[in-house]
Amino acid sequence: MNARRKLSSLLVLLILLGTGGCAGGSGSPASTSAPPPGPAYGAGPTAGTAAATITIKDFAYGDPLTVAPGAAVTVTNMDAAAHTVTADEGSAFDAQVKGGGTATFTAPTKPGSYAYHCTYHPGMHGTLVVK
Amino acid sequence: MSAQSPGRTVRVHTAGMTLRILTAVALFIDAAVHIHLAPGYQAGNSAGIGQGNLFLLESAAAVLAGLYVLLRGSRAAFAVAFVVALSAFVAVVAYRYVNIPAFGPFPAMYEPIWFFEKSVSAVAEGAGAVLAAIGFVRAGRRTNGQGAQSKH
Repeated sequence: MNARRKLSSLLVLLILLGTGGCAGGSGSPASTSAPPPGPAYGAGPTAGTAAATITIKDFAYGDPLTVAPGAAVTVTNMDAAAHTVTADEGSAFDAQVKGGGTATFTAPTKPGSYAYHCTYHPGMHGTLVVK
Repeated sequence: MSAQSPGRTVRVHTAGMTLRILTAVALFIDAAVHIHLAPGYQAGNSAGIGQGNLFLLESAAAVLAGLYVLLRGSRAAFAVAFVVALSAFVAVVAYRYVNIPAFGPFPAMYEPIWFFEKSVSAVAEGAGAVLAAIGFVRAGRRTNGQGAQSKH
């Protein structure tokens, strides 16, 4: 019984270390290799998820956000008007969020700096950094 | 007492025509920007009549007022141009700085930022209002002058 508890504690510690390393942006191979290629919602990206929130207020996205590859990014819209978070180039991501609502999208898996905009309001621009 | 010299008449006519063209151009720029922005704003804010639809109505009014002042150049034409341009200018500045809630068919349109298209539109509206006001005063003077001459 006691050994089992120790084993589970050790497991939790290992998971925490693994996700912490991923959030730091250095030791990602373990986490990225765990899930198969494709949309990643596995253990690795969840470390970035906690802080991966774009808050839209007064028609502005705020400061550039840095997330782990494939992390789930939450968009919180504090405005009354609807907005989008749409990648400038390609179709890396495109999230629509209603006024006062929230939405989630998956960050690109390829590291880099992604400029994005609101398709409804041409004055809104932001940057998502994936690393 | 004495008739105006031909040179002065031509200058007055040219200035009047320039004023009409500039006023119309300002209104057309305002209309073009609103037509360009309307689809996005309608998708982003469809409450009430919808912000995009309001933009299209404003554009229609601006185009009609621009054509009116361009074709007629009368006092009434400048008055219409002035009202359209000034109302648009007041609206864009008010919704930039004051969080006006939705009322009647009008949705809440508070947008506390300036960006290129919006700035161009606001400048065109302001300039259009000033030009139309000048045209209105000039057209009034011309009408009064003609009235005074016809009395003699």
